[in-house]
Amino acid sequence: MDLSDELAFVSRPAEVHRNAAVDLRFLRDGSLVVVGSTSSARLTGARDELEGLVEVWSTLHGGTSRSVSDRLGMSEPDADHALGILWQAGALAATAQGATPAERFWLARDPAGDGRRPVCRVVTNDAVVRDVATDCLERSGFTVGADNADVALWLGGELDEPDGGPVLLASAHESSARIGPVFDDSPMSPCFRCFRALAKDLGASPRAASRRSWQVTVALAVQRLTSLVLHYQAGHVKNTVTEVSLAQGTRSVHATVDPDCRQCLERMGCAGTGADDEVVRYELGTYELGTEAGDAMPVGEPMPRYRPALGYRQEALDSAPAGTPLHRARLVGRAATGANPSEPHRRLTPSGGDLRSCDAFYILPAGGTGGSVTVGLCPPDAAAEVHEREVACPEPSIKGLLDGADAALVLVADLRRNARKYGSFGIKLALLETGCALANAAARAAALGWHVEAREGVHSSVELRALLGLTSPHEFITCVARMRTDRGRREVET
Amino acid sequence: MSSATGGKPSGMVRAMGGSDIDDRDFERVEVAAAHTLDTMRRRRTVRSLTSDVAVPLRTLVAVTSDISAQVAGLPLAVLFLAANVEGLAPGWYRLDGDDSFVPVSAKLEYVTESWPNANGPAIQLVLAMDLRSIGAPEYGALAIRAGRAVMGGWMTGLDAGLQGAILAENSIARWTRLIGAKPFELRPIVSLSMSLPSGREGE
Repeated sequence: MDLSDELAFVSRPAEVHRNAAVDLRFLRDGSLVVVGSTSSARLTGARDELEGLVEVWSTLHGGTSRSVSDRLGMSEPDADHALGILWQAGALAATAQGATPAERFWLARDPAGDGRRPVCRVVTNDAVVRDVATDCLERSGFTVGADNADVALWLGGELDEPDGGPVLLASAHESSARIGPVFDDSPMSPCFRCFRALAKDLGASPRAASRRSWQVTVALAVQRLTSLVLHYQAGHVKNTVTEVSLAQGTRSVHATVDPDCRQCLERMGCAGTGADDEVVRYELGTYELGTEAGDAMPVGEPMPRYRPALGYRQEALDSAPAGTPLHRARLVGRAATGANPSEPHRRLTPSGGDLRSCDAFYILPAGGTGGSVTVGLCPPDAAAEVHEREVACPEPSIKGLLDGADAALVLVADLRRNARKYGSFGIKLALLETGCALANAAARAAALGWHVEAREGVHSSVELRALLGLTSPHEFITCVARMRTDRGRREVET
Repeated sequence: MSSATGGKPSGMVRAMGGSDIDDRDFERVEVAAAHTLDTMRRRRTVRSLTSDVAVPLRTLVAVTSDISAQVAGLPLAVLFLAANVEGLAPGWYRLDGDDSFVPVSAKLEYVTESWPNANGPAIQLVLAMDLRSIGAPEYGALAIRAGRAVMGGWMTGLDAGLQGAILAENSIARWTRLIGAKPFELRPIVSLSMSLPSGREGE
């Protein structure tokens, strides 16, 4: 597990939040995708965030990078700057990945300096989207036309969304082609057949046109830039789109489709596209987040804090006698997650956006003769109860964790809770919140007569994840700690 | 005030991304004696801060000492803006290895853009990651340690009557301009802003 893995989760479409200023998607194949939002209110932050992420990415990969702002001589935040940032970042990424000069041409602002205006074809079935995109592209140095196009953008649109605008569904140029889902509205993506025809028409290689090609394209920058232009120029224009409501599991979506294209309808789940279609399998696998159906929880709804299916049962905090290790562990766990029994609305730990990304688990011997352990979960929003289960005969590594300790404390960050609002910035928030939780836990433990020995950092123990019942790839064990009796430190608080 | 001893955590590098539980990876988390449940309950995020009331130097020293002890030996730099601290000229300082304050810049600007210049908290303390000496394995562990350190510092500040807020930081360009660092050397990761109450506090 390294930073790239930590960040890789944001490549999942469902994790992309509409308000994320800039996301760099670190993909598992080592490539880097730049996605930018150019909402002017956050442009300065976007610039900073992008620079920071490029800088970290460069550090991780042993490369070097320079200040994007310095390169561009930026001083005022405007759309051109945002586009320049994104293009430059794309060029950085492409250069590091060994992209050809022809590819880099599309990733940076005319690095060859020949002054040629690239020709861009816009494919959309919506007149407003076309107008906005055309205006934006021309302002950005493209010529819009169908003949001899260098790059094609397939755009959809949901113009009645507050953050709506033309949405890039697919893009293609001579060396690269990509099809959605790029963002969380992936059902709007064109069908594979239509996309392939478009890509082939643009001269993309058969390989590029036959599978998703994760490459940075200038189209990603344009996608959000058009959103900006739409927002400020088109205002509240409503799109007249065909809306189709359908259910994917427990998730309802509204999608924009071409009603004349049967393939588009089929691909959205209205009819069987065929499970053997490789692209469909790939996209569904990417989109559905495995079997956990994370999409079933729309943004804004509370996340599940415990999992009854795994055998956790709700326990009143005081159901264990005061002063016992179990009672102390419950108090420490509750302090870690910030639950405040005296004032439930005021948490003991800060949390970015009050999204409470950190859960605390405690583990201690159950007290029986079978060597079983009690595993407890302290949700951050429950002050009066905990959730516990007993697990018999844990793995040796778990026994080792408890060796000589009264109890263990495990902090788990659910990155999904933050990423939904903050994008990749949520990773930093989750890590910082883990640190705050640990500080609180240590303070509370000390008051109860324990000292804490901690191991900070992402921990990938399969045994420990199984013991806690962690099944989501977005839940990271960020700290493991032992709690031992600290005799004579101070009078024990109960 | 603080009994924290810190020290370079030898297990820090191993800790990131491991799957085995190794005794050597665990390090004791020292806690200031005054940090009790009562301290924790008094914590409240207050963002409307002003520098109207000067913070005693000894209070600043208590906070910085606590944080310094938590990050000693790690590639985490501690810098702070003293906007109104008794006996300290306004400006940015860097906490040196021996906990002395080294002037960095006389600019009276906050990293966080929440406050206009010269009208924000009396102290803004920033933990910055030294990117020249870290890579992927250390990033997560260092960020966690930074959170732990500022939380401890906040509790120490609470005990001294300060109020404030922890804010995750991402303002690379602003930060670079403020302290004159090279763009990709020190990356701010979290800030702790604190002031003494002046009657204008609020959530």
